[in-house]
Amino acid sequence: MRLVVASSLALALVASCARPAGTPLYRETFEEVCDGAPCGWEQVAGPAGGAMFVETIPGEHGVRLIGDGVAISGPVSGDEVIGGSIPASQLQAHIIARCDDGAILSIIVSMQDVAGTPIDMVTSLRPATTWDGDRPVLPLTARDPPITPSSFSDILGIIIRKEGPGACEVDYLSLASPAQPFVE
Amino acid sequence: MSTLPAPLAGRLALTLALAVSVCWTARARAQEAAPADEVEAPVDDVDTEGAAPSAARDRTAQDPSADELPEGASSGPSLAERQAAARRGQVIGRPSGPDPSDPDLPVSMQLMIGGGGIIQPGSLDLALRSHDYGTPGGFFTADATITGRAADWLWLGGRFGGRGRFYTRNDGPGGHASAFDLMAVVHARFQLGRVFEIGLMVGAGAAVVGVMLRDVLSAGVWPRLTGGVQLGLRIGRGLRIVARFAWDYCTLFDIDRYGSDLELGGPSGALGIEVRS
Repeated sequence: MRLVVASSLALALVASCARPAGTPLYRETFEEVCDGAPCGWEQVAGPAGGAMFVETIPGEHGVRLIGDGVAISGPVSGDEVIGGSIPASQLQAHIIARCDDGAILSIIVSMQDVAGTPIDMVTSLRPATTWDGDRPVLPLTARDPPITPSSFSDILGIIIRKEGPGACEVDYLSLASPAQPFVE
Repeated sequence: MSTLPAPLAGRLALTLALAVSVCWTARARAQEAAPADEVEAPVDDVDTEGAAPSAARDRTAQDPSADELPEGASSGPSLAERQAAARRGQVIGRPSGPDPSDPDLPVSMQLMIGGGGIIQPGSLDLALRSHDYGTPGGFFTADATITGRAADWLWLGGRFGGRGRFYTRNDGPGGHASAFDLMAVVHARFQLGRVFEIGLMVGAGAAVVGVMLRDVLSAGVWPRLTGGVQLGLRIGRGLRIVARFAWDYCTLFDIDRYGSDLELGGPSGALGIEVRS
């Protein structure tokens, strides 16, 4: 009986430690503001003043994109360097956003494969118009060249682009892979 | 030997007959006027020892002894008293009125903790879910109620309470929502025997309702209502275990610029203790 209890406790302890602590490969919560804009982010396309820091729900902040063709470029601190390589085909983006009807968001991730060749991975979505419901996790595909590298070793940059009428609000963006969901 | 004259002997015999008749009549009347429990005492009431107290003599094996009862409590009439009443055509039982010590304890304080469920989630729950928060459908409660007796069945007072919910998040810190309320309460209480009581309680007041996410508090004041059934179990002089089943209205509207509503009401249950003084 004691052996069963001890084994159960040991198994529970191992199970609780099985999920590695850490962060996704890339994560942006838009919770810090610098000069009226999320820290490290800058507008790279679209009309002036098309990106601003906003509160989405009480305590949660994000970036609002207004106008067609507005794009912002995010910071890459170097923490996203992967110690090794992971399959690029398994890279997924989790984006929490809301858009007015008809607007489309695109996430462009500039990466470097194991041979040192830069490549862009992209995903597009038409988010819900209201803040309700679950936000899906989206796969990324290679844009140029349209060949998905077998693996990548570094993230060089992130761009969020909005197209269409109205406004979009982005509260959270993360990149992860089921094979290696967290950086150690 | 001399003999009485015939007329005198006749008068003496008549007087003796009258005296005997009066004595028999007086004895019969005296027996009719005697108490029933003296002339018809049950066999088990006969004190064969001759030294036992009357209380112990009337008690049966089923009745607890006096020192086993709480102070101020009674097990009711003894078996002998109930049998004597039955012979007189009366039915008596254990006392069903309120605790005889209650009139001396007109102030009640109840401390309760419990929990409940969200039947209709507010729009903030949906917004939080879209932000990757987990939104459990339950909440916990705690409150203190002080009432004073206005009538045998009616108690009036106030309640200060709190309730809250916790939100978890897969990637990042969680949050919580809470409400602190102050209400006037009316409590109608009905005693069911010496131990149990049932009551209806309603209350109205106001609550400060808020949500804290990422250490940012958003709060407001909104009306607060409650109503429910409360059960009591007397466990001692001025001491009861109480259980409450209630429905609470506790909602804060337009908590953000999207008009989200925070819900902290719904059905709930609570368990606690009541102290009277």
